Amino acid sequence: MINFKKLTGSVLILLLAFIGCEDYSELDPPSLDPGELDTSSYVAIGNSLTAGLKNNALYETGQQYSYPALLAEQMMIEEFEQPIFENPGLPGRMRVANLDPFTIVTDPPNISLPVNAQLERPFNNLGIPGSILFDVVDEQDFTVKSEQRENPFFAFILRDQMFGQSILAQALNLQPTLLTLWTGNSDILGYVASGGTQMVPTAQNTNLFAAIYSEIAGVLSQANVPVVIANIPDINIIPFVNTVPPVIVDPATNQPITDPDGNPIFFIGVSPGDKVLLTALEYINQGYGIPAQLGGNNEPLPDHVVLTVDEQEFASDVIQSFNAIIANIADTHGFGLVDIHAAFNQIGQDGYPLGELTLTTEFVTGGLFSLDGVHPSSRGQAIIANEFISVINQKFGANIPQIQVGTIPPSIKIAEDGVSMSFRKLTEIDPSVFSSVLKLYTY
Amino acid sequence: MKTFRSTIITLLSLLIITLPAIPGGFQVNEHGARGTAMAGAIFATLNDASAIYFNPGALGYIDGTSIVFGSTLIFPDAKFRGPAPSVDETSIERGVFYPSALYASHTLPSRLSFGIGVFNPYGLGTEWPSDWVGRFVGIQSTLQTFSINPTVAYQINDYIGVGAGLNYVIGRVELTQALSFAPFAGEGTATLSGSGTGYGWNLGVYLTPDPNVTIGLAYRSSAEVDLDGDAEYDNVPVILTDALPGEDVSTSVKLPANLHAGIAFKGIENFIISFGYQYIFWEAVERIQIEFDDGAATQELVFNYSDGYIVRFGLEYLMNDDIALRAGYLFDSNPTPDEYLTPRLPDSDRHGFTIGAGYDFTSSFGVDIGYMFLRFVERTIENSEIEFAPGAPLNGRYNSSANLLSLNFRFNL
Repeated sequence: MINFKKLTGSVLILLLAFIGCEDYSELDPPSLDPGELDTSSYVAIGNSLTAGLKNNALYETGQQYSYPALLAEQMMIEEFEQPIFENPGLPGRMRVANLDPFTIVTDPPNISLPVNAQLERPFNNLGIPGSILFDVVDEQDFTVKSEQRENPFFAFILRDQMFGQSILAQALNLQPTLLTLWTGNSDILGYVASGGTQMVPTAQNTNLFAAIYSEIAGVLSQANVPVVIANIPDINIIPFVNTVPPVIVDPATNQPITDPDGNPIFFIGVSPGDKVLLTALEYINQGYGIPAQLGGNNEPLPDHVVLTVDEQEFASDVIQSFNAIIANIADTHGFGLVDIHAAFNQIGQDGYPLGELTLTTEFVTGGLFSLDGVHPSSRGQAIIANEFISVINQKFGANIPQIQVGTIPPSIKIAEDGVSMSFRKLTEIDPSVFSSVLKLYTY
Repeated sequence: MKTFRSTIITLLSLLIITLPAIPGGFQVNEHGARGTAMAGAIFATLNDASAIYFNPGALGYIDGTSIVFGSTLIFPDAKFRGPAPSVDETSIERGVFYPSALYASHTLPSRLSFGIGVFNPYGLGTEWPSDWVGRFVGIQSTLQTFSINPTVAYQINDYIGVGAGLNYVIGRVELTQALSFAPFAGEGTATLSGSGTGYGWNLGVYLTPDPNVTIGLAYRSSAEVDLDGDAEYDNVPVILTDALPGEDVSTSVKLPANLHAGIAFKGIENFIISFGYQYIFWEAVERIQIEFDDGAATQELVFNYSDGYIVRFGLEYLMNDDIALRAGYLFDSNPTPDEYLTPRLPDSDRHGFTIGAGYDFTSSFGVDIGYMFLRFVERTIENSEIEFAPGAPLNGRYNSSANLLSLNFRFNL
């Protein structure tokens, strides 16, 4: 007979050996090859787009997905300080309170200093909502400026002027080893959002824009700061401009009302080719732009809610000039140039494919823009960050990984509380909620 | 909101797409402790009523009345590291599953046999943490099937026995995953549960061409299980509830056919050496169609499974009249291509190492115990078609294993 103990003993040992030898290999965490890029001090200068403002507010859970914050994360930078505004932030975060009728509510502003206002240095993210190119070098007292512009962000985001008299000075105070600069958008966006009724001097005189931008570039070059700049996207892609049709729509059917010849009827004060802004909805609801026989008040839509063909052309020309200036400066100073204009036009045309999903510039449902119709969603911010990453990688020979845009959560918030304002259809959202968007661009 | 609604429907379809995958990896083949102990290589060496499952052709050889009942405790473990390039590790929640079986047979002096078996042919599941990175792919997956298998068998002569059975299958499935509200922020959960029944049949032949050699062949047909169920949503904002598709869902799932073949040798004194081969016809499970009862959508889902096989080797040493010692090894090829591997079933090729024993307290009452360690080959997925977020494939590395402990009681009256 076989030795029982030996048999069971060896079988057990064999079994334990199998169990012990787990099939599990070690994996290396992802690493970053920065090339010639020094990530020790990254600073971002810009406006609301850089700040990460969305849904008409700068708020913590939205700021988390600003393109500079996303960039810093991809570059594995641990110390990237943004001025953190507690939810719901300010000036007034928008949320969807109902789908049909489509209803937007605005959260009351949470007017308080950033929670990390005690930071004893300037913030790394110097994106100031509503700031124009000139603000980058302007040395006016920040508090006074905030009061004059009815824009609290200068005073809230910029530190004590002992850290620097201007945005640019505060940026240099951080001795940046990488600086991204994306500004100039507000210089023309105010004109567009106000239906061509407001104008900043740089839009009127693009030489002024060139002079200020050159000054900034010169200072940065002098300080030997590695810089990546971005140009200005087309205004035609924002839902603020593209959502409300120029013709009268029957609220019952959501189809255009036609005249006896079968042609759609344009709002009074609107000509073919004109763009009707989201702010027009308030007036349309009151009967403006609609003939009396269709139940309207026979008054034309006010000038400031319509962007005429001429105004569109003017804006496009200005943007073209701005972008030529920006390209020229990038070339002169050896700055990296992110062609956001081209990237957004491409996306506006084809959408942004995300697996089986395609993000588009359509209002609300498109997924690229937030509820204010002007500012990108978190996913839109990630796409912008990816554009920066491509240029940074190329310029510095780095291998910063691209962001998987789909992993960034959607950002249109739903309200289950609060006072709701109801509108009959998507195209009839009450515009009073958009007037605060416009306010950011009022000078 | 058409976009949102169609997104939800797609997500629900994805819930269902994983359904046949569960039996793919967690097909339960442990239906008796002797089988567990010998790595299932017992298609040609059967001496109790568990033949109803393994090979009904053997039933006519078993004298008198045989009753076997017991359970297998299954402790699965699975880890995922990813999504690549991340190497963050997530483990499934600890859980235990206990497929159970009851078999009873009676053989008349004429060698005609009747029997009935009740067992869980497919089952188990996985539960990942509800906040894990793959939550939009799957959180919880549970499949329970319950099979009632009346059987008749006849031992024609000294050399051959045949058997056949009907297989009534009751199935229940529950699948949970996170639900995105895109383009809106936030997320909820969707749970799809359904149950239904189906029929199949099985046949077996048991050959003893030589006193020392037995050969077993058995075939268990596929069973089409029609499932009716509903979708349940949690944490969905009130304003989105109208956009969710209808609650009633129906589909039909084909459980694949299995072919069992085995040979056993008794040439060496007190030893039984046994080989088994099992072929699983996964390719037949081509596609399933899902219907939402409110007519919202009909979805057809296509699989790319390949047929699977299991090779089994078992050894039994009859120490004396009362004690039998057993051991075995199996290799199980997985049917899921890399592209469609889901964390609901972190499948892989497996090696099974088994050990066990049987003890007869009396000539009519015995106990069997069997232990199996299943080691899943580490699996690296680099071309996943499964997305954990839009456009983001769930690539990464899976490491799984399972411990199984079977116990059953045998009565030979």
